[in-house]
Amino acid sequence: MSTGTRADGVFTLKERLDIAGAEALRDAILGADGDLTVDAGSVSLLTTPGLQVLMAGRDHLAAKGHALRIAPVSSGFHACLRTLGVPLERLQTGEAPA
Amino acid sequence: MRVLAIDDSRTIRDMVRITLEREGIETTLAEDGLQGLAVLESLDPRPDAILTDVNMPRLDGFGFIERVRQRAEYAGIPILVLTTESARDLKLKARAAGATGWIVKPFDPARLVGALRTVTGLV
Repeated sequence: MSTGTRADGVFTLKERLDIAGAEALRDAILGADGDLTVDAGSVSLLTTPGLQVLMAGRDHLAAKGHALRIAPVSSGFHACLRTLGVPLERLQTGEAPA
Repeated sequence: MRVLAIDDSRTIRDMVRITLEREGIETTLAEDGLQGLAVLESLDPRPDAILTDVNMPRLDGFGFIERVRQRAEYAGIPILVLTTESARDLKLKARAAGATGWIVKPFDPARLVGALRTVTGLV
């Protein structure tokens, strides 16, 4: 399955992590066979489906012994998380980027 | 535990499935209320609980719950509403239709599993 994940385990989110973006992220997470880093450096919009995939995906990967990290993180992504009331740490198994 | 989960979003269905199956919960999926009714009738044994979205094409979550509650054989199955909606009047409408509880999306995986265990009494 082609998931858009690079060989080094990095999946880059597009500007909008909406329902369409969530589908691509879902495929990346379900297809991951190792640690996954999600590059959220360009995200300006994060909606509920995307957040849901990150929340469930983190636990899914952890159960398989894999880490989920989100880095880099854009200011827009941080702002959406604040609005939705979810800390970045809740979405990843690695340390939050500075 | 066996759960029937109904949501028109494939992404959400997949997230529910991986969350529940990781906990050893047998999960059957449906895309809307009508398909949910058909799947429910086909399940033997019947599910221990049902998760349903509200806003779906063809038959929404309220309609699905009302139809299920009209059937005596399904009266004892807990139904949790899983939706982005959190307005009080919608919760009351779900309760009136026969819902057991309400979980707001995005759901916390551990809380979803915990809620299912609570309403079913199964570990």
